[in-house]
Amino acid sequence: MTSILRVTGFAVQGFRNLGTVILSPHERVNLFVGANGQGKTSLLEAVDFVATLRSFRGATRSQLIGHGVPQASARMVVEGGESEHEFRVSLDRRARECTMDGKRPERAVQYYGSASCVVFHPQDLDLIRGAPDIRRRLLDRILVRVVDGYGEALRNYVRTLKARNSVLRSASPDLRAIAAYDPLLSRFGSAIARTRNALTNELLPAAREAAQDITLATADLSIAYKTKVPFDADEYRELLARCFDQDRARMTTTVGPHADDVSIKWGGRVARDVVSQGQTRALALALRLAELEVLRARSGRVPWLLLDDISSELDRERTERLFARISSLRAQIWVTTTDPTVRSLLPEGHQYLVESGGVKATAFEG
Amino acid sequence: MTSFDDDPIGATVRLLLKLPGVGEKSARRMAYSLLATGPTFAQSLGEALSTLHERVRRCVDCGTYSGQDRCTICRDARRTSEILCVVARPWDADALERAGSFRGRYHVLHTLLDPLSGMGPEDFPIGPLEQRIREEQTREVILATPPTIEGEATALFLAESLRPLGIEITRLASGVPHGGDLEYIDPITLGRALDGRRGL
Repeated sequence: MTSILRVTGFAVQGFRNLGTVILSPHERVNLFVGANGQGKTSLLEAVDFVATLRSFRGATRSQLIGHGVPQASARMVVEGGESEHEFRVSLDRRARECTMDGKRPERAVQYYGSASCVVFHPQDLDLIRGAPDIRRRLLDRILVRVVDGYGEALRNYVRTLKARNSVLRSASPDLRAIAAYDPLLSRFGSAIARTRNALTNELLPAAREAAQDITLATADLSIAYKTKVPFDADEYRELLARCFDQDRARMTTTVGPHADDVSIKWGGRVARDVVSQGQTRALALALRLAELEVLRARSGRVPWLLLDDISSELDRERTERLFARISSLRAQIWVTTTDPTVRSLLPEGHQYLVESGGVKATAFEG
Repeated sequence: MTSFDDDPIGATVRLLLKLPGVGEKSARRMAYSLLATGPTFAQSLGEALSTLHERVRRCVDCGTYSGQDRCTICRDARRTSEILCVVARPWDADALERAGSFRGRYHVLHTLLDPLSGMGPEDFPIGPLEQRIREEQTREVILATPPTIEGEATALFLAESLRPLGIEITRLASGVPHGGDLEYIDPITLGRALDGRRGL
């Protein structure tokens, strides 16, 4: 039985330019209307930050804390089926703390898996056009929620990688230290590459189906995980040994999941080179819908959706199709827009006015 | 900035706050409790703290904290240096002692390999350990550093560094806790327990 995750309470203070915001969101539709620069995207970023402990705008902790305040904090209650969980996050310039139901979570997957949401935002164009780390982040965002131990493996990999690179930067790298880091790097690295590869194969059918539906085109979308990392830890360790001279010369680890990418092709050619702005947006949307579908299928829980900067004039047809697709899931959605007429595309819900970092409830009308 | 004379309670609270695991609220409770229980306890505590560094030194053999030049374990003739258990911190040795089954001696590193926090391989205090192994004719070294990235890396680094000495090198087994239900054990621990399985 699939349950539907819904935020039933959200409060935040000290986050970016937002004032103190306290919301009791509608179970289906929450529409945030306001001019640019008033805090709409920051509000969605805050919700997603509690869920992922990362900024979808790639911001650092210091950037997320409002000017002149020592810390930012947020509280979120998420209901899903029979269960209800309370998430609390506080961050100051030195550290971040999070609790789930009053305790520090023991396993990453408990936390992330119970706060599953998908964000659609204008920067998603970078999923097609941007640097590889944006595509890796899409995979990691899903995997920390559905694979027990993935969040831990990723954190361990990054720490080992940084330590190994710091040894490589010394004038004559200590071979005993390299021999200490390679077994750890290969154990976590091969597991990460293997898991990401499997996920990419799982995303493919969902992304392909969504792309055809949105673009109404017959050209074929294909995505594939691109890695030089052997999926077997021992083989990866041997490869690290073979690459050592190259790593020493470049003073950094050259082969690992930190250097991987997802290749995206449209009609057999590299998508970034061949598609228009509108098609790029459609393909990025297809990837996000695939994220939603895999999260739903793997966890048995429908994530809630954060849709940033939706416009009714631009791309009305595509927006309508998107809303039609997600409304069949009965997911909770949070929509921000500068354009109040977007309301006409949505079923009834709550409407809010976002102004100067404040959020207040208004009547649900354009 | 207020001085100690202006605000003795606040100054005490700020000092207590520097202790690990002590937050603002506990620090305040401690300070007020020290006032409420009368001067004797506060004075005894103060004296214990002010002479702590004079009275406690590092054991000349194993490096653990001790009231004397040599700690009780290193002085105990029934213990053997044939087997040395290498730990990161003094309290790790205490924990192993509580298990009660180890008859060898300890070696306390007081650090872990962590180049990102300034402890790179070139600064790592491996000399005293090597010297001790040679002088005390150690047969086996048990690497009992914690199962974290830094602890694992330190164990692997020590194994690599001590290999030329030709002694037996073992690593503390990691696995399933006593009385645990397999279903509730995290996959990393379970995977390692599987990798390190033993024949019966």
